[in-house]
Amino acid sequence: MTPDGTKLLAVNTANNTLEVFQLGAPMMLNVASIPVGLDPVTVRVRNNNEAWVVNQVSDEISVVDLTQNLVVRSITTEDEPADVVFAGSPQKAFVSCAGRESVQVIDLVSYAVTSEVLLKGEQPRALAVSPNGSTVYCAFFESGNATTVLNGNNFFNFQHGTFGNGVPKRGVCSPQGGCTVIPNDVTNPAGPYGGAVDPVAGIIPNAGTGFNPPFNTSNPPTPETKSIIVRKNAAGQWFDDNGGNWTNMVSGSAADKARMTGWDMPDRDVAVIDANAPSTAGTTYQTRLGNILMAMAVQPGTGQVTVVGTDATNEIRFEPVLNGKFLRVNLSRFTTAGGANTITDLNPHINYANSALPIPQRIQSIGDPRAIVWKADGSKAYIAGMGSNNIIAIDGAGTRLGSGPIPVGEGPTGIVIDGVRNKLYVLNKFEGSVSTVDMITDQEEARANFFDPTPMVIKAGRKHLYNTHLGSGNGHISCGSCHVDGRWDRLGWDLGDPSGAMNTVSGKSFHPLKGVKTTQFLIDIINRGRGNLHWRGDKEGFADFAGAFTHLQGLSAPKPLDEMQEFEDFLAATWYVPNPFRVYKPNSQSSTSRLNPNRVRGTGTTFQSIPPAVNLFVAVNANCAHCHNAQTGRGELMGNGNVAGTGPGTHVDFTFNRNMSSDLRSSYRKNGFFYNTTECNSGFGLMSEGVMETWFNTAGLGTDGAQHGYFGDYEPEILSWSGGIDQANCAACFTFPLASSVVQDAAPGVGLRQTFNGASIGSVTQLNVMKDLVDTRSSEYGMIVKGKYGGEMRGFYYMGSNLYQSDISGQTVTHTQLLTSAQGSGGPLSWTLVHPSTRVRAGVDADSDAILDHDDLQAKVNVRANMEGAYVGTAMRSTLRDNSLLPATDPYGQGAQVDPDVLQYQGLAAPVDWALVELRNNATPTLVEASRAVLVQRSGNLMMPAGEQTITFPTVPAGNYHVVVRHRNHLGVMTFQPAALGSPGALVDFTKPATATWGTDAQKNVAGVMVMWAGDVSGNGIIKYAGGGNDRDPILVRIGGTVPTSTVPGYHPEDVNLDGVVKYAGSSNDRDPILVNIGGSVPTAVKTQQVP
Amino acid sequence: MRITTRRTRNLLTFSLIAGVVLVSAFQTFELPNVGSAVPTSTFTNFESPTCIRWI
Repeated sequence: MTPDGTKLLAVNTANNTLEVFQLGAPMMLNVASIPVGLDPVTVRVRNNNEAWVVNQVSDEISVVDLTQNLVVRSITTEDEPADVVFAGSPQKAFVSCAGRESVQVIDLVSYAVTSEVLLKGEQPRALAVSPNGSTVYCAFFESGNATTVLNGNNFFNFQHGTFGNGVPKRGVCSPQGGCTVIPNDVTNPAGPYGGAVDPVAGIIPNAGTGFNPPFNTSNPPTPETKSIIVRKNAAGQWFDDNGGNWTNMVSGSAADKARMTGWDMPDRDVAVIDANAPSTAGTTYQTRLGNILMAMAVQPGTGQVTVVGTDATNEIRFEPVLNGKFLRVNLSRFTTAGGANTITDLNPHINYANSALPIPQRIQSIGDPRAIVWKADGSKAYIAGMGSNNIIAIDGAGTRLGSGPIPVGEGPTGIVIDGVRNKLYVLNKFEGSVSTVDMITDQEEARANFFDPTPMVIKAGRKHLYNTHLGSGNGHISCGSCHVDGRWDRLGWDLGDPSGAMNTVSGKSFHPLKGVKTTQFLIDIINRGRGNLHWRGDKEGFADFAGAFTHLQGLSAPKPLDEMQEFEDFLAATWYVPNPFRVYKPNSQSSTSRLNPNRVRGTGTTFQSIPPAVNLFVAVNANCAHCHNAQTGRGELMGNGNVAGTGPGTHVDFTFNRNMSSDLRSSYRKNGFFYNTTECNSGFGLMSEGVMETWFNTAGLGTDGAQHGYFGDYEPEILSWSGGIDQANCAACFTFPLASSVVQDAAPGVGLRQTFNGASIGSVTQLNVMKDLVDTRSSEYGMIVKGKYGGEMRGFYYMGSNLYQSDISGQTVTHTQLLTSAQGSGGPLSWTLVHPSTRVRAGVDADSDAILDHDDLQAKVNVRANMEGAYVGTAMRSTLRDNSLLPATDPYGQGAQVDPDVLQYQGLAAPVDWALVELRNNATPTLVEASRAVLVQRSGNLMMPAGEQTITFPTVPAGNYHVVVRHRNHLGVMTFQPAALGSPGALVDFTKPATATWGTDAQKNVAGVMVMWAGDVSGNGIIKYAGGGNDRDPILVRIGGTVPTSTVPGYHPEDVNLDGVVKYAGSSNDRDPILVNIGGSVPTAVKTQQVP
Repeated sequence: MRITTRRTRNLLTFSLIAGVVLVSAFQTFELPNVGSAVPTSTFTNFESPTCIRWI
């Protein structure tokens, strides 16, 4: 919201726009939709005239001039910017860059990035500022929760042969000789169990010497020992869920363990940055606040930092124990950096001894909290549950207030407080709407939608990932609780079941004790590789996960198959973001490496020098592509053994790794787990169990010298995997069957963006890079242009050969024309790289209706008007609807049908009656250009029969028109001035005296509110009480003509006061309004409609 | 046909009724905007998390 309270700003991620709403009127009005970069995720207002929009895929900030509703400059940031705040003296902008793990500092005069604070934590996103503006706080989204995995298998530990110097070979070795070794810590005699595991289960027991639930004795022994998860307590000691103390193996000095002595994972959660002198060295950290830290705000008055998010009990085994209760939704607080934390469960009504609550209590839960905002006096805060579709309130001490949650639209992700009006505005991302909540009643009072192009398949299926009320027994968990945003929680889980039965899938046998498995990415997981799903390949299809809703999330029944299909279809429509480790244009590089070295920065360790590129797909005897043989990296090896050239006694033995060959595209997002650091960011790394370091361990683990470390050569390939493979960087890989399969990876340059505005803003060099990418790699890139051209807001897409298609059919412009205009005085234009399949929609046809946007501009208008007959003070009555008298079809002969849902609207949204809106010609106001039957709501808003607020005229081009409102027994009214009607719609408010109307005395003033004259029963434009053609006699006729006190219910034009009853005499009769409106004293006087 | 009006009494009644204001709780003004969905083939959905902020 702008400081003056006149505008509300909301990012429209699906449409790549910033929506501007005008506040202050009875209805929020969407007055502008400003194209910005790809995937805008945050907007912050710098002042009344300037807003900064953070675009996560474009790696860019669009600076918006709110006086012109235009992007006036672009600021390129590091990877995946998430939030921006303004702080410090002199004031600066601070931008969190999630992919880079940094906060960039931007000068507000030059708009240049002046410094970067490198952070020690994963996915820094939410930002907040101290009350005095001198401290910036940054929360790590994937912060970790002080749990980590101890390796328990021998895949990286088995011995096979010796090196030439006699030293035994150990671990997985490349054909060229280097080996990667991860000792088996679980079977290390220095562990708390002396290296013993249950001989049948192959795992540490979880209940003394036994198991809870009891071990199924009919199951055969598991084929391998398994890893275990430990959690650090307040004293820095590491325990498993059976009370075993593994500190000696984690941070101590036990012999032959994986980690270095002194290894530690601080569990940093919030970075505390000096806003006046920001620096990497001067940044401190608050720890132990939770795992996924989603949103943050500073409490006014106390200055307390309040963070909402989730924490997991992933150190606890097994699935039956965890069912429906493996997560907490928390408010975490601290006042002084380094001081004590206070953590409060935001669902105090949940008894975590149980997996489910009755539905009335279940829907009290909040899940997936994505926003927190405090009232100005710090006495109360509101928190949005994106998964629970509600808002909860807490008091100043962090205690959840007793009143129930406030239901809002689907996917609330942001809240703004309007203290002056006592309102909350809530962005419902999944629905594409903004809710208005009254802070006095804590009830939603209105909802305004905005253009949302999200495909239906996504809208239908998204709830199955996120909705916590539909997804869990206690109402606070969904699949998205761990697969956060379709990605992961950076944790491993042991979801085995000791009491479970063996399972046979695709002819292969699976043990119910599966061991530790890290959370998998769900992005583009459907049909994008070979073989079955899940780490082990024990799911033949996505529908096979339906049971997880019952045995993991606490529901009483599995998800129905039709809903699983919706879920699957949604996941099939998800994309990998551009990989920051990829170079834009590998075929212009001197080597075959795809790695973008400028993006690489290690955390807690030093990234090794980038070795010569290695092509994973070269035809050696045993290379990675034998198994990882699709573009995704996914392969078909399913749990049972070795491929040619491998096996016992060779360089790699799959006896100890019975998993599918995994999708490798998410590898770069799993950086952060290292064995050789005291400052580890993450407790889980690569491979199914999370035991493999990101930088494939290279130092100090071999004894033969030079050959060790070869696996390090593969790092560039793995980090830069997503983004597809082409012959330029891998000619040999095209010999593999699925190497050229379609993947939904955005190419690394997607999102690149340059804004040109006059002579000094915009880099021609960078624009040329973008244009060259499209010219040379048209299957990976398209380019669009948005902004002001020829005095109008326009859109274009690049066709190649220096030509652009405009948003007018048949019109093309040249690259030079656009650039010359933007660099001159034509107004700012922004170029953006997109995926080629989206260039037409994103550039020139937003709604994909094959009518280009400029041609598609329709006359649209928002209208308010009151019908006097129904007006009873501050609103109109809805008696016709209430008594089921309102016809489903309009009475004006247009054949419009009301949506049944609209008839159920309550309160001031309830429909009163049908009305007619006409557009009259600008120059010839008697000429009706178009008309539409609409419904009047009690509040005075006119809406389309399907409920849309804006009235559209599809066959009428945008332009200037007089607007007329007619009603079947009220005098119509017309604007005096023509109104500019385009996109987004303008507002014509006939309820305000200030709205100039055609003619004289066109409406009636009732205590400062304008209403349309009631009583034109005959519909002839004249209210007449006596004489021929009067409006009184039809009333008498309707009631029978003889007994004046008779009444006739129904939907009749004689029902002047719209109360559903035609009445001639007595209270609330329909005759008196006619007499009153003609003056009340001279029965022959008339009132004439002022519409030409 | 002639029917005598009792204008004064009816006007009084009308004004009394007009003074009664019944405003129940607000609810939604409109349906979610589902009509604008575009084909999946023209849309790259990255599931980027979104928020709006106050200054």
